[in-house]
Amino acid sequence: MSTRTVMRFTGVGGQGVLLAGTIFASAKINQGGFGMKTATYTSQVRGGATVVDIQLDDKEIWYPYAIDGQIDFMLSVADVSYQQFKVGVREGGTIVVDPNLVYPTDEDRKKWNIVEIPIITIAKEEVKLVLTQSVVALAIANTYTHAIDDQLLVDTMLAAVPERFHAPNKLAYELGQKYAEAAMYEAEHA
Amino acid sequence: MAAGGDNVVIKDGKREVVMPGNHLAALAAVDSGCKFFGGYPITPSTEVMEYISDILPEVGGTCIQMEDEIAGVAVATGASMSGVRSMTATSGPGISLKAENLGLAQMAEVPLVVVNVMRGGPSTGLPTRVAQGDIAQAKNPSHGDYKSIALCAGTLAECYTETVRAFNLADRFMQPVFVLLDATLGLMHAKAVLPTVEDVQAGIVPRKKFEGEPENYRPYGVEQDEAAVLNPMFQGYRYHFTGLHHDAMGFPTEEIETCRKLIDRLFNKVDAHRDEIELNEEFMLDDADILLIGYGSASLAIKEAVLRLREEGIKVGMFRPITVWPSPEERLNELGKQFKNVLSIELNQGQYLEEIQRCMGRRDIEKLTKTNGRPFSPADISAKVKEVF
Repeated sequence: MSTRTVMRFTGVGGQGVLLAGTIFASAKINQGGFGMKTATYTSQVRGGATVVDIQLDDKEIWYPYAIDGQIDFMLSVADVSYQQFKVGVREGGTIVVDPNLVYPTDEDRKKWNIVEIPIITIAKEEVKLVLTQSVVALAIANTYTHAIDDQLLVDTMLAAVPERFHAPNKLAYELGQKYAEAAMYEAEHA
Repeated sequence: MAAGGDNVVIKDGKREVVMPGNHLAALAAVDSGCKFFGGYPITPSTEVMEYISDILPEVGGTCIQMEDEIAGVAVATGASMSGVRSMTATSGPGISLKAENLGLAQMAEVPLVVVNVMRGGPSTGLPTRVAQGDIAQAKNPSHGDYKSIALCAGTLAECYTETVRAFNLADRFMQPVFVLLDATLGLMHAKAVLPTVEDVQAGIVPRKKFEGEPENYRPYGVEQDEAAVLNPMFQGYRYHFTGLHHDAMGFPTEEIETCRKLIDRLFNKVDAHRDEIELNEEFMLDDADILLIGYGSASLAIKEAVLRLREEGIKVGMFRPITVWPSPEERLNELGKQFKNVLSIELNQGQYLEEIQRCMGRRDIEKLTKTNGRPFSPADISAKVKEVF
């Protein structure tokens, strides 16, 4: 049986979605497994659709891109990339979107489990550091996929961040977790 | 401290690192004793320069961002002329600009490692997208006759090991050696298992040096299957560098026999020692009925496709040249006799297919090509195999 978790993070160039992918892959490798992150972007420096494919497995991964139709979880913070890359998510898979920036159709909501979490607003207004959006996204993705032990993921993330930014990034992770758990609870009790 | 920083774990005598392919090429250069990098940033190779600018000064080396691609290769060639291991990195459009100086390095026999992280072309093409469109260019980037050596990494670990090999081959054969990566390999980020720095350093054979009296030194006066012996500069051994046809001391000449022998030797120094250069991977070929041929990042999709097709009972295998130039002539010829069904898979319009046809001596080879900047998926390959065989 395949043990592979396949995730896709999408946004626009400059938003920092690439970082979350690197942290996931590194954490899986630290755990003794195989992690692969592959980024694809356009030639626009800022504003072009960016997609990061993340594959985590206990077995070796050769092909570095997620295969359309096999993605379990996608997170998107820009409509341009959401519209372009949503087709890769398997039917019934979860797509977390920032509702201020991404506009899923009614059909999308039937096909996928669309979850709305204001990722950028959380980073900007609650952490007060917009750069931490990728860590908010990291926590949300892990809460939904249970791909990596939370403590290992946080440790891997902190190792990639300068020490003076540890506190806001820890807060960003906790908030991401809290919002994701609240969204899951709400969905179950709706 | 070994370059590469905190990402390195030593396990069973090997290093495990978590890095993108572009960083691995830079790390390999530093571990191989490279002391100079000259270049100009270009997508998707920029991270090679970015990373080496961090780690090369730590070991006493120099990294210079020049004003353009041409100046980048010119300073890298100059550094190598002085006797140190030297590298430049770029993408296809950069090779087009560097071509004139690469011809000079071929003619003057200056070792140089040239990393080309391939992207869509021609011209500026698709800057951030993947292609294998520079395979033909790597054989003959500049005008004139010479014999290229080009190594094509197909895994993250090979972004490292092929760069190491390129440095050793450049010094052995005294000429530029290409390391071909592409946008997929350069930017993909995962674990790579590498040899230790000690093992890499133990494999370094220094450039040949003439130790006799300076008046007896003839840098280009070597046997017809040998490379020039260029001593480091400023050590009392005088000679001349030129792009013109030259004599044993490097001075220009039009003497008929000298000119013939020079170009013959540029070919023969490589051809006579192909066994030292050739490297291939054969994947599940032993019991295969269908032969897939591919290289570089395309082979990652091919391997997945081989496994899937075998699950369906279709016995396929893959042959992957790692040294693409000179091509594995004899092995391809043998495989051409052994397999009736052959499919060549390339992210270009068939640049290597012609070489495969030549080596196999047949033209009935199926092809799967793509030039829209997107990678092959394993499904593309499985579908093609089912369609044509």
